[in-house]
Parts: sequence; structure tokens; C-alpha cells
Amino acid sequence: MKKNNIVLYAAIAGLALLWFVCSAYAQDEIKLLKNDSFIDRERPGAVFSHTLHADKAGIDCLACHHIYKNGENVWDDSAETECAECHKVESGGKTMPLMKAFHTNCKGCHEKENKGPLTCGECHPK
Amino acid sequence: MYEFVSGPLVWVAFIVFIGGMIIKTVGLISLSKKKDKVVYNHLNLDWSMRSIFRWLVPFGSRGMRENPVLTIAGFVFHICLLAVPLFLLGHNILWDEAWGISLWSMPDRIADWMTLFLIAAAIVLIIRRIVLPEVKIVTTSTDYILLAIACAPFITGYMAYHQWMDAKTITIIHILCGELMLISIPFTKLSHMILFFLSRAHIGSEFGERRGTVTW
Ligand code: HEC
Ligand code: HEC
Ligand code: HEC
Ligand code: HEC
Ligand code: HEM
Repeated sequence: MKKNNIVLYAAIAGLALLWFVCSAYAQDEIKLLKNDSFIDRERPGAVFSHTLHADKAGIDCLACHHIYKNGENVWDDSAETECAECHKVESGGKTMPLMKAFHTNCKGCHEKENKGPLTCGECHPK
Repeated sequence: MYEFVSGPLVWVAFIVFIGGMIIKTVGLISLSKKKDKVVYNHLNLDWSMRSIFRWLVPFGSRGMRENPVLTIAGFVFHICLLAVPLFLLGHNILWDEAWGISLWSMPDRIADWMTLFLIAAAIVLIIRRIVLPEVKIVTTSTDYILLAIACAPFITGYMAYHQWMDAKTITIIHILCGELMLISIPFTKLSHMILFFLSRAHIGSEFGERRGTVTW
């Protein structure tokens, strides 16, 4: 009886650890971009792998992340990453509206590199 | 493939469509100046506008009042045919990216329904050509082909939006169908999208100014 309990506790602890590791691992990697700023959404969000782009394809962080000072991109690891902090849904000034900022960034590079998706359905799968 | 179809080919399609329609319209007007000078004696802005207006509003003409099914199907068909491609979010995003201009866009949900309405209206128009003997006798295969050309972008656009089969392939097919439709306009009776206004002005003036009767 006592032995059985230990096995049970060990199993529960093991499962909990597994869950913890899995969810921590999942949080590491962005897989779907679905920005809360879009209130009445038209599309289900966009598939995007941060690891694939930054690590496997070896793209410079500065190709996507930026903070402009005197026309120069001075972004570093500790700086703002959320596009919606600066790009608003409705363009209320000279910064690009949010959707256009995403599309220009993503599709612009895919077009230039001739790699990566360009049609709506490929990035916004149902 | 997608880049070619959504880039250079769009330019080709729009240039053929707009350029072709200008050449066709100017050509027909100058032909009428040679062969039918008389028209210009009684061409009248007031009668022209009245005739065009009467034939643009639902049930504005007698023929429309006598054929309510055709009228409803026809108006649904034409309204969706114009409004969906112009105000579709997907199209406006692409114009904005390509040319920095875009129109107001409607929610996809509405575009989706309007697409289905257009297809339903087209089915009514096809059935009418088969069922009514007086229509059947003046129907040629061209009429069906043109209906198919006009519907194809809607059927394939609907499939692309709902991601039936391979999203990329269907999108490419959709764009090709749209371009085929645009290119067909100047060379077929789809050119009535512009020539309608000339014919109505002509007939409206001919009957109104000259004979004092209305044509609606
Ligand atoms: C290269 C990938 C990519 C392609 C191709 C792409 N998008 Fe997006 N789109 C994104 C990303 C990333 C976002 C921002 C993340 C989000 O959805 O919250 C976005 C956001 C949007 C939004 C705003 C959010 C919403 O649902 O209202 C709309 C609308 C949209 N896209 C429509 C389209 C349409 C229509 C097309 C095809 C003409 C298209 N996208 C093609 C990546 C893409
Ligand atoms: C291909 C474009 C791209 C590249 C390259 C890229 N990122 Fe990102 N990154 C994004 C996008 C898009 C987001 C999500 C932004 C949002 O939600 O507004 C993001 C989010 C982040 C975040 C916050 C979310 C998280 O995962 O914690 C960090 C931190 C980050 N990036 C760091 C980096 C670093 C460091 C590099 C270079 C090694 C890099 N990024 C390269 C596009 C990119
Ligand atoms: C700290 C504020 C800030 C953040 C965060 C930010 N941007 Fe920008 N972005 C700007 C400014 C300022 C400009 C220059 C003005 C303009 O053209 O809109 C700009 C310009 C752009 C442009 C136009 C081309 C260029 O690079 O000049 C794109 C595309 C763009 N941003 C995409 C993004 C994306 C995608 C993200 C998130 C990964 C992001 N931005 C995050 C401030 C920001
Ligand atoms: C600076 C260039 C660059 C930018 C910016 C960029 N991508 Fe990519 N993307 C690539 C390249 C290169 C590939 C092909 C990677 C490969 O197959 O090795 C790719 C591939 C992809 C794929 C296909 C992945 C697969 O499994 O085949 C998706 C989805 C994608 N990108 C989404 C996005 C989204 C969404 C954004 C914007 C937030 C974005 N990309 C921004 C360069 C870029
Ligand atoms: C000429 C170039 C054209 C291009 C580049 C183009 C591009 C596109 C794109 C990218 C989509 C979105 C697919 C999605 O949401 O995943 C779309 C949808 C659609 N397009 Fe086009 N298109 C073109 C011409 C046309 C024309 C001429 C028509 C009609 C006359 C048309 C009617 C539609 C319809 C009905 C939809 C789907 C609407 C829905 O059900 O939601 N398109 N098109």
C-alpha cells in the first residue's frame, strides 16, 4: 500500500514536470501571431516561427525589430519587441498602421528573398 | 509563379482592359460620326440622362417590370459583380501594397455572402436561357462562355478564401481567372459595361427628342 502510494506520487510529479517542461518550451517559441490590437478580426492570425527565421534562416534581428534614432536602427535585445507598441491599428500619424507594418515586413522580405509564403491562405490558415 | 501572376500579368490585364475600352469607345464614336451623323442632330443630354437613369434603377423600365425574376437576378448579379472585387479586403490590401491606394473595404463575411448571391443569380440567368424558348432561340454558346468567364473569379475566389484544396494554387488560378475576365471585356459583349451608357443615350435621345416617347 505504501509502496503503491510512492509510485502514484512519483507518477503525478513526473507528469507535472513533463507538463511544466512542455509548456515552458512552448512559450519559448512563437508559432502564431495574433495581435490583440485587432478587435474585429477578419483572419485567424498568422503562422510564424521565430526560431526558423532568427536561427535556422539566420536572419538578423534588425531585419524585423527596430528603434529608429536619427535614421539609424539602434534596436538591441533589451529593447521593445512588440510592433503594436508603435504601430497602431488606425494610422494616426506618420508611422505605418499595424497590419501594413506586418505585411510590409513579412511579405516584403519573402518577395525579395523569393522564399516564404505570399498568399493570404498560406500565412492565415483556417 | 504567384509573383508573375500577381505582378506583371495584373499590369497586362489592366492595360488591355482600360486601353482596349478606350480604343473601342473612341472607335465606335468616330464610326458613328462617319456613318450615322444624323444621331448628333437630336442627341440630347436631358433625354440621355433620363434614359440611362431609368435603366440603372431596378424596375425603372417596362421590360424590367414585366420580367421581375430577370430583373432581380440581373441586379443582384451586377451589384455583386462590381462591389465585391472593388471593396474586397484582400484586393484592397494588395492595391495598398502595390500602389499605396485603397478603397473602403467590407467585412469578409459580407463579401462571402455576396459571392454566393452572385453565383445563385448566375444560375438563374443560365436556367432562364435554357427554359424560356424566346430566350433560348437567341442564345449562343458565347453567352454561356461569357457567364462562365464572369463567374470564374467568384467561384475560385470563394475557394481561395475558404482554403479549399491548396491555398496557393487556388489563389493563382483565381488571379488568372480575374485577369481573363478583365482582358475579355473589350473584346466581347462584356464591353456593355461602358457601351451601355452610349446605347442608352442614343436610344433615349432618338425616341425622346425625335419621336417624343420614352423607352422605359
Ligand atoms: C507573410 C505572411 C502574411 C501574408 C502572405 C498575409 N498576411 Fe495578413 N497578417 C500577417 C501577420 C503577421 C499579421 C499580424 C498578426 C495578426 O494577425 O494579428 C497579419 C494581419 C492581417 C490582418 C489584420 C488582423 C485581422 O484578422 O483583422 C488582416 C485583415 C490580414 N492580415 C489579411 C490578409 C490578407 C487578405 C492577405 C492576402 C492578400 C494577407 N493577410 C496575407 C501575415 C501575412
Ligand atoms: C523575421 C522577423 C524576425 C526576426 C529575424 C527576429 N524577430 Fe523577434 N519577433 C518578431 C515578431 C514578429 C515578434 C512578435 C512581435 C509582436 O507580437 O508584436 C517577435 C518577438 C520577439 C520577442 C518577444 C517575444 C518572445 O519570444 O519573447 C523577442 C525577445 C525577440 N523577438 C527577440 C529577437 C531577437 C533577439 C532576434 C535576433 C536573434 C529576433 N527577435 C529576430 C520577428 C522577428
Ligand atoms: C519603438 C517603436 C517601434 C516598434 C516597436 C516597431 N516599429 Fe516599425 N517603425 C517605427 C518607426 C518610427 C518607423 C518609421 C516610420 C514609418 O515609416 O512608419 C517604422 C517603420 C516600419 C516599417 C516601414 C519600413 C521601415 O523599416 O522603415 C515597417 C515595415 C515596420 N516598421 C514594421 C515593424 C514590425 C514588423 C515591428 C515588430 C516586429 C515593428 N515595426 C516594431 C517604430 C517602431
Ligand atoms: C528578412 C526576411 C524575412 C522576414 C522579415 C520574414 N520572413 Fe518568413 N521566411 C523568410 C525565409 C528566408 C523563409 C524560408 C525559410 C526556409 O524555408 O528555410 C521564410 C519562411 C516563412 C514561412 C514558411 C515556414 C515553413 O515552415 O516553410 C512562414 C509561415 C513565414 N516565413 C512567415 C513569416 C511572417 C508571418 C513574417 C512576418 C512577421 C515573416 N515570415 C517575416 C524570410 C523572412
Ligand atoms: C486581376 C487580379 C486579381 C487578383 C490579384 C485577385 C486577388 C485575390 C485575392 C488575393 C483574394 C483573397 C483570397 C483569400 O482571401 O484567401 C481574392 C478573393 C476574391 N476575388 Fe480576386 N483577384 C483578382 C481579380 C478578381 C476579379 C476580376 C474578381 C471578380 C470580378 C474577383 C473576385 C474575387 C472574389 C469573389 C473573392 C472571394 C470573396 C470571398 O468569398 O470572400 N477577383 N482575390
